[in-house]
Amino acid sequence: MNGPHVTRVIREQLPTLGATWSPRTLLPPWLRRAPLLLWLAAIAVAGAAALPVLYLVVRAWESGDMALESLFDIDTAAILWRSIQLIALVTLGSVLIAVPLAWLTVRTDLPFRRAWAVASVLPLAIPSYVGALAFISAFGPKGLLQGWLEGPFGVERLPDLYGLTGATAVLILLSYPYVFLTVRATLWRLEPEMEEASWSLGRSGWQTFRRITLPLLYPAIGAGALLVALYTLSDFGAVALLQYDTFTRVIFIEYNSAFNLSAAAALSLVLLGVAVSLILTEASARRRARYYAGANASRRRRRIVRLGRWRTPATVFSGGVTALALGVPIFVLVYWLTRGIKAGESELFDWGALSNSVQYSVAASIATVIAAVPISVLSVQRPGMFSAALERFSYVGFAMPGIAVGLGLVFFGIRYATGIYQTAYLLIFAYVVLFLPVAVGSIRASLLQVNPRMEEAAMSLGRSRINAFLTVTVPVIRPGLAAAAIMVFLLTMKELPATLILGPIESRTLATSIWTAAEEAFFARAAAPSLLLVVASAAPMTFLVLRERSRN
Amino acid sequence: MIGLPGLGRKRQEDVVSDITLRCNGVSKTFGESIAVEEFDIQVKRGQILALVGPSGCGKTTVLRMIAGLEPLDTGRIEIGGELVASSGRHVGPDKRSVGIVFQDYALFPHMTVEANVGYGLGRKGRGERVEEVLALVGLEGLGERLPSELSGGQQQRVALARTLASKPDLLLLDEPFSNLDAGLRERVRSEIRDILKAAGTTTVFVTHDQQEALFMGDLVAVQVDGRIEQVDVPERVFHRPATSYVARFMGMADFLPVEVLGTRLVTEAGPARAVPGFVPPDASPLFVMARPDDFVLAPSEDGQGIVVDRVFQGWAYTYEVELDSGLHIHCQMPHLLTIEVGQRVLVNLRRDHPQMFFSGGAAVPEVSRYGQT
Repeated sequence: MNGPHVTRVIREQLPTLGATWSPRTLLPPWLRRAPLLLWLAAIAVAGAAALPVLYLVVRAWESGDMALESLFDIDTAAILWRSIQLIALVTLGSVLIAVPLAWLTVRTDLPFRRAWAVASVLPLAIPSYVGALAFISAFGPKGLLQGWLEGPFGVERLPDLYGLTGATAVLILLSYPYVFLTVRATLWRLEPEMEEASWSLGRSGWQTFRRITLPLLYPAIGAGALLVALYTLSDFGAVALLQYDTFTRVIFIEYNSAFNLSAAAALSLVLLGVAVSLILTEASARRRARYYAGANASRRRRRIVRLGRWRTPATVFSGGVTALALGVPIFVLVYWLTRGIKAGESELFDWGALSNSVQYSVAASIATVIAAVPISVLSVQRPGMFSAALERFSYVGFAMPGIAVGLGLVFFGIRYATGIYQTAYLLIFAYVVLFLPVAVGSIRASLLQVNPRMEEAAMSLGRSRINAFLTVTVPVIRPGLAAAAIMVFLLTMKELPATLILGPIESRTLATSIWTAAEEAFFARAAAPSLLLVVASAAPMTFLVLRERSRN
Repeated sequence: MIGLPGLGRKRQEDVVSDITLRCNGVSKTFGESIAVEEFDIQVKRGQILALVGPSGCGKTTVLRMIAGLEPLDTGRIEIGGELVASSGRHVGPDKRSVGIVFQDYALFPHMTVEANVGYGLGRKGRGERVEEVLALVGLEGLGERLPSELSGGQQQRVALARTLASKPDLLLLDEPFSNLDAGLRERVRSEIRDILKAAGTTTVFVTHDQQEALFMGDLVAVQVDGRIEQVDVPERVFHRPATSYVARFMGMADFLPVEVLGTRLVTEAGPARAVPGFVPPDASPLFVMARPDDFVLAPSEDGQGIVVDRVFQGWAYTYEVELDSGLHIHCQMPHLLTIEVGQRVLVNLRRDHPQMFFSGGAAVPEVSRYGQT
């Protein structure tokens, strides 16, 4: 309907108005340049993404003084302090592990460095509740390690894993890959000439690393650290299992056990505030440092640093990180699975939960990709203030922990959408809000590769705008769409807090069944679904890392 | 011999100067492909050597081996009389008194101009030296800026200042003007030549642009396929090329077959003039090299050629003329005379100076490839 031939017909009917007339001149300028339909769709998606925040605010506002009082009653300051401690320690630990690891795997003759590079990314495939469960089973009281030590050495107690110590250790091992990935990508892109210039000015290798390489990595470290901090802040599974009271755990308890909805809403808003201030801090740090990494990786072969006598310690370090972050969880899960099989455990695998998980995830990934397209297209093809604002809105899920999105939608559902409350529809809506930024990011990146002249060429050959998009642009961005769908599918499979809050009653998913088993310490029952989740996520991740490497 | 402008000046310098850079038989292969083969060069103190060649001829590799960023396979490199590279010895880039300015400058984006320039200096006297060098390159007062806040030409001078600050024995420039606009380029290169001469810095400078090489170099070395074709003062490389390859590379050149009739050298464009005592080779065919300004063109229905193309260059026209034999030649004529395409013309070689003759790709009489060394 909106195609050029309609315009042409109208133009022929109204010759007096001249060639510059088009139906869009009646619209404000920012709407005139793209099909109205696209803008309306994008606005609707952005509005939907903002819905959970909106209802958290409404709910907190309506309870007024009660919400404020409950913030004092439950000692929000202490929760905030605990969260900040955890974020600071996890972020610091991740940077300390990831930066040397990235440098070793890109710039040195570390043995098996390609294998370490893949292994260092894979912990991202482990959901935090699975990681926590594995560590509790391995190092907790009456755990595997203590059991082995008890016989020969008579050890009856290990250092306490619960609380800050355990949560820090587990979250570092699960989230350091974010820093590893960003730093590694920048190391590949850094122009070797920078370092060569420093050497030729008489500086040694170490001085060059400290004064040139490391400062140039700060933006990448900052970006990775932000991801780690947000991951830690929004994590629910690990802190809940390790009994460390951060925002997410307290919110869940207030909602689930104390039924204090005002307190849960107020706390969620504080949590959101912390997340936003983390994002703003990183953004302002990045603005101050107007760094530049060469746009195109230099084709010149870069010098490989010979480790010499540091080879063995470096290998032990890389191997140790992998053994802890990847080896321990896999070992524990396999151990419990074989024990369960030997013991003839009947409920080893919950097929119903798997079927639910797959159904929800497929629906969520299709819905999210469809929702992400209008915003991505507008932000790439019609850059401007308004499309940028729409894109910002879609990033709500990036800042908002799953538990807050879930709560916001609970309030919305109870009041305005009782028809879909506690059905799969509202749950899938939550997944769309949560994972929209992932899909927009992937689709945007592939749209940026599309020459806009191609669509214009198609239109000049007589195709309508929509037809040109479907026949020219979509085939080109198909890999981006597929990547987005796969990532959303995997993230949905693993998602826990929103699923716990919004999931239809009596309908279990893989994530919730692992959670229930873990809470009750039925490790054998959690092992099979956990392994399935880990392996399913690890496969595409390995593929992505290998592809990155073959490009370089 | 032949009086060429500029030669006297160079001769005097040679007597007093000693040799800063000496490369002997330097070779380097990457896998299967030979990047540099048997490379020989000598650069005297204070001289600027322009290393020119088509892209991919290995000139940047030469520069990187001199800087110590790339080890060599065979041969020797001496800087200031000290052996820095041979097949058994490799002095690291940080231990050589060599400064390199990269094609894209490689300024440290996280440091101010001042910090960039002072990067290679010790603490003592750093401030004064930085100011001194910034003044030398004409960037006083910009020390607080970040590289991203400077224009391309300014970034270029910061890169130069950073390298000059620690007073290297030898300065290396890798295609230093290729990132600048055409308009800016001419100004910047003459500024930089003045700076280098003022600082008295020995320089090796790599370019693919002949004009740049002729303008910048005290010596011009033409490199082809990893080998040096000719090293000499710019005037001689241009007017007395050792090989027909150098002749073509340094500027437009046509080659006309020569018929030897007793003492006369006859071409399709009239008689050619040789140096006194010229002895033509016995067997192989002989050619005379003619630059576009070596021809005189006159419209004439009795001429032996026909104008097939005309390119207007502002100050002159370049005509492409097809001779009756089918050979195409290029003639430059002042813009005052306009000849239409299709017009028959009479073409003659200028007789006011001797021409260069080539046989089997090499100059006759032979021109030394290493004219100055």
